[in-house]
Amino acid sequence: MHIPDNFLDVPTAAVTSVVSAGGLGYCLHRLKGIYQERTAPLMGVMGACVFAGQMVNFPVLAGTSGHLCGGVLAAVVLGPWGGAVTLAVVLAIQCLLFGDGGLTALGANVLNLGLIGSAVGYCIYALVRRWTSGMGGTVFAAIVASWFSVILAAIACSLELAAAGTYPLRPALSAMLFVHAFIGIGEAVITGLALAFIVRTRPDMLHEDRAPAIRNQFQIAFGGLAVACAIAVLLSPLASSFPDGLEKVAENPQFVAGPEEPLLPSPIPDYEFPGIPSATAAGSIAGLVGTVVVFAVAMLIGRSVARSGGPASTLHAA
Amino acid sequence: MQLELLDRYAHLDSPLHRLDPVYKVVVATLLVFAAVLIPHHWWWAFAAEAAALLVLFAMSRVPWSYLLKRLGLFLPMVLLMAVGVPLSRGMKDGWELMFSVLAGSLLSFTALLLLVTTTPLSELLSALHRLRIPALLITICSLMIRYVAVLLDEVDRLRRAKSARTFQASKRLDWAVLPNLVGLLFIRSVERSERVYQAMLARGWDGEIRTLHDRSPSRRQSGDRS
Repeated sequence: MHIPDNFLDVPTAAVTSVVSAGGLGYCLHRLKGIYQERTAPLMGVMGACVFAGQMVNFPVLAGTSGHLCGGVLAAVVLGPWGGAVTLAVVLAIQCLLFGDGGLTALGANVLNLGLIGSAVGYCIYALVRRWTSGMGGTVFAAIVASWFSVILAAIACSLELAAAGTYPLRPALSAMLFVHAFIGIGEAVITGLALAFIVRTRPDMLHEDRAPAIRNQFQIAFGGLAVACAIAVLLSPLASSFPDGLEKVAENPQFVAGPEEPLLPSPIPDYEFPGIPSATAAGSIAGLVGTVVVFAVAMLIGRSVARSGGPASTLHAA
Repeated sequence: MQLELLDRYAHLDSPLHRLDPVYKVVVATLLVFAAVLIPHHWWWAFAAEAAALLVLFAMSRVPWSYLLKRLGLFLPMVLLMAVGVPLSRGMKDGWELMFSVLAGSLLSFTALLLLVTTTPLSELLSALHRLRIPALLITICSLMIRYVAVLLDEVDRLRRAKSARTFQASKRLDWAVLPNLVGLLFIRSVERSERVYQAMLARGWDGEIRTLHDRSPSRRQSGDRS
């Protein structure tokens, strides 16, 4: 998934570089807060560890082999900041010394594999970890998180390539998702087995969660809202241009003359926000607005049910 | 192992090797950006940059076989991604875009390769530091480069231990054992980082690397390099 030079144009490269430089700076700042002057030896040796670990080849199908990317595994052992920095250093060295991933695309690669593949992967791990318990729970959470982190990194990668105009979005995204759904399974299995070994041998070595515990249900609710919004913004441009099954049938001229005027004028016709020229941005905004509205309605219903003495656990379960 | 190969041509004597690494980093970065900025159908501009890079490479006295070998490793990787361009946007304008993307990416690769081959890694990192890359990041990178060779040897030892206990390798056995090997590598690395940190503390480590060979401009003017 390393993007070489010249596959991204200058604006995309600049935006991704600024985002990853900021993210990396924040990670380093948090790391220094935790490890102080131990940061450099720990990150240096772990960077070398991930680099060497990527040289271990796993046989897949006849003749081919794959290797671990290691983002989630590093984050589970070192925490989200340590995982992201480790992966970023590995990517920087691979770019400089081996020409693996381009210099102008380094920002994008760090964003995809370091910040998303490792730090966001850790967030998924921490989320799943809350609902599971014991060593099995740790391993299960890491497996789920590493599959999703590969998928999210693939989505980010294809969005960047499409924004740069190298590939059209839809074929790039579907090809990347198809391939990485399988690569993600490999990553998840290796991560799970390797982590199971670490948990059996040195359970004390895992990063303990220093983040303050989530205090009330509103934090959980808004955390969920943030994730839903991110998914809506990323995926609605794709959904918006595919007519769904019923609409497709209705648009078929032999079926009916055309869709009739709706009884009520919809505030967001066809999931595209009026007044915004770009269909992609309009789709994203429509998705975002829709998500927030649905969320607010669900919140209101949940609260009224809870207040009227109905099942009080509605909001907790949500 | 592989890292010895990287520094193999870094100590030759040529105008490029003698140049201050800071200038080399700046020029290489400019060449990379030039290759990215060339519009898609300006073939003469690609040719001009390729010619400039070839002249620089000839000046560097690094054997041509090395360039060919590295290009041979790089090309399949980038070809796989480039073939997607005409496949996804139609054959007509897809091919032209594919070849210009490919040309730019080969030129960028060669520019970076030239920088790394003619500059010892330690000098490259100190040049990056002088170009205002944060010191902590540089320290992490330099420690990583030192320990990559050590940990690649660690992987070799683990592999050897595995094959010493395995008469017949099979795919199922590989999948049962290799993840443990990766897990063990992580455990040993964290433990090693503890030992490295203790050893560094014993030698007065306070979070900052100090070097004797500081090639800063003021030093050089006072005759340090003559």
